[in-house]
Amino acid sequence: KVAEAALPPLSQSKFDEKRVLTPQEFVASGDYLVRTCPTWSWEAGEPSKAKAYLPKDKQFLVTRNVPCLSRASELERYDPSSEFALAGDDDGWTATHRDPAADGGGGSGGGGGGGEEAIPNIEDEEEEKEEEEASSRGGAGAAPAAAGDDGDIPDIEDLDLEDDEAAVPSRPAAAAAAAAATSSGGGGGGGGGGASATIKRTRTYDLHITYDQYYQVPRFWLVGYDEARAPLSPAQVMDDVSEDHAKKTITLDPHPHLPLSAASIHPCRHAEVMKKLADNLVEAGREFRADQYLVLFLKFIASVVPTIQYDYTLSVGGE
Amino acid sequence: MAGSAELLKFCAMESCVDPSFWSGLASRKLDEYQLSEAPVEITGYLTASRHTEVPSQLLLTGSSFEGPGARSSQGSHALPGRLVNFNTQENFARADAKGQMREAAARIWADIRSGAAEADPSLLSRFFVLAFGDLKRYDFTYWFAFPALKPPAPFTQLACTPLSEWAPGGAAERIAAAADAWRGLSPGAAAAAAAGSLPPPPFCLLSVAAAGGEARALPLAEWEAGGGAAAAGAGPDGAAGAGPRLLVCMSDPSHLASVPGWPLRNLLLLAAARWRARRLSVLCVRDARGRCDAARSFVVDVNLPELPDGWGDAAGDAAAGAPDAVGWETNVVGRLAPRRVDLSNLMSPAALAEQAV
Repeated sequence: KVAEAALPPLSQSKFDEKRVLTPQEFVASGDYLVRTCPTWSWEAGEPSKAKAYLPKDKQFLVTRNVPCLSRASELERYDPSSEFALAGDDDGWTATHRDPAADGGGGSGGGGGGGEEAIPNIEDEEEEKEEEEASSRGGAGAAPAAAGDDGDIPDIEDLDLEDDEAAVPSRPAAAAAAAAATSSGGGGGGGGGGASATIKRTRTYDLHITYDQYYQVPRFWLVGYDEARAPLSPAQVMDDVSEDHAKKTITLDPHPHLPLSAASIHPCRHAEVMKKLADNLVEAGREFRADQYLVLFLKFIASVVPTIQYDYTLSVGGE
Repeated sequence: MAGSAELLKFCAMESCVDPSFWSGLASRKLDEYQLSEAPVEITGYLTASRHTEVPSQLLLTGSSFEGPGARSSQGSHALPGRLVNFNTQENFARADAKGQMREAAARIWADIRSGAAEADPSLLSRFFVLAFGDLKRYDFTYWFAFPALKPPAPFTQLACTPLSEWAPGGAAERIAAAADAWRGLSPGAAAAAAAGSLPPPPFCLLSVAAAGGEARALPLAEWEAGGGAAAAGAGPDGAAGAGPRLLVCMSDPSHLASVPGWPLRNLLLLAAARWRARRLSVLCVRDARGRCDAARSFVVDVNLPELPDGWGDAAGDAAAGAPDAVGWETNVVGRLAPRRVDLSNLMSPAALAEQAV
């Protein structure tokens, strides 16, 4: 933070050699993303936290209410190549993601190791063990959420049950939970615990992209909610991050534009990874422009949060 | 299919309150509202459903306090709402919830009858929220209501067809493109929708040429001019006419297959009350990757009940001469009760300081 205050934002483009962005290039790239993929939009955030080097109404990018059906740790035999085949991309850059399997045997452990390390290698043999750990962690994490809805919410004057045959609950989960609550005696708040077992854990995420002045790259934030729209704890968010990253590159930090702390992917290796991906594109004879930076960035992020279903299927490279 | 009409059902609405809304409320409560419990006008934002797994939710953010033009997010519609923030938990618990609902319903009904809702369709989707915030503990209790007026007899559905089948060939694409253009989602429109301009209304009309499916969007107020009366007067097999077909088009927050979203209810009542329509075709627009998806979007043909003259006036007490309304949001376990959110781990200075290390 001190360094940020002392260092002026990057003013000369270093896009070509380092694959980092100036604030202007970040905005241009955000505009491109918003234009080609309208699920993303610019936000202003807290006016008091606005960065002077970004336009007032274009401080960071958000896509909201993105479903996440299963935990990353529950993905059995996660196969990144299938994920990218789905994206309808040809081989160009995806090679990077397939190759690490080769170095996966040893490379993924080292703390300050090679550049590949920032790319997840989920086909690790350790996966199964980690999976167990994660699911027990997930179970513990879910408990407070279920208990969250308890008796001390004041009941407003008892509304007669609304007589409305034309309404359908928005989620089957709500219906199941309601049924459970009724059958458990329908007392004050007793239904919460019993119902949680029947709820399918469809989480949702608000995903944010901010500009990190120090590393001169975009930074990716995850704000998660459980199926009842209660905010997820940081530990719960980790369930939706690939194991490699959950341990190493996800940190909890104050959000630069909002009055909250959130999980984010630490940007210290972003430029490195982006350079690799971009080089692959260029090698494959494709063009990589600065305004397409975020589109490529999102493809890289998809490997970190494999189960969060945001749209990363746009193509890069002048198609 | 005609004749075998079944009850038309609607997917309940969900709210989503961003932490920035609560922090905005907390600071306004301290600096501005203080002990006032007077209603505050706020803005909620709604998009068409974007994913098959979850509905779109009415979104409140920090900019909800700043008027409908404050947040320009593509494809989202600004809906007017009211926040009643109580000083104490006791006041919240004693809130006249039914009275609030009656009042909101009366406003919607008045706007339907006066024509105001035709000029500004967002008025059909008025919402309100009762809230109490324990500012010391960053703990908020709240209850949303999305009033839907009940017609004298239920709406029934005749048919429900995916847009891709309803308009075969390239026609579906042209209709989808027209729906996107209306919502400011066409590539050229993005630049035009600069900050400060008002978001598009949540409903419009689509005039679809009988041949080729050439489609263009019209405001709701052009129902008569667009030939709506002719279409609505037609019998159950009314599609036979040679003129353009007029569809009502809605950004549909529902994600459930063939179940339209909650906001459609008041629009159908408007059609019955104001246009005297007995039959209506509604295009429920749903998105994939942020644009209208012809496979997910569908056209539902609805039978509307006839409203007797003076219906809605005679509903009893003069203070709230409006039809009954439903629409309280359920809580986490599906009961009709308030929700609660504890943001202490996100917002309290102590927690923030700890995490910042």
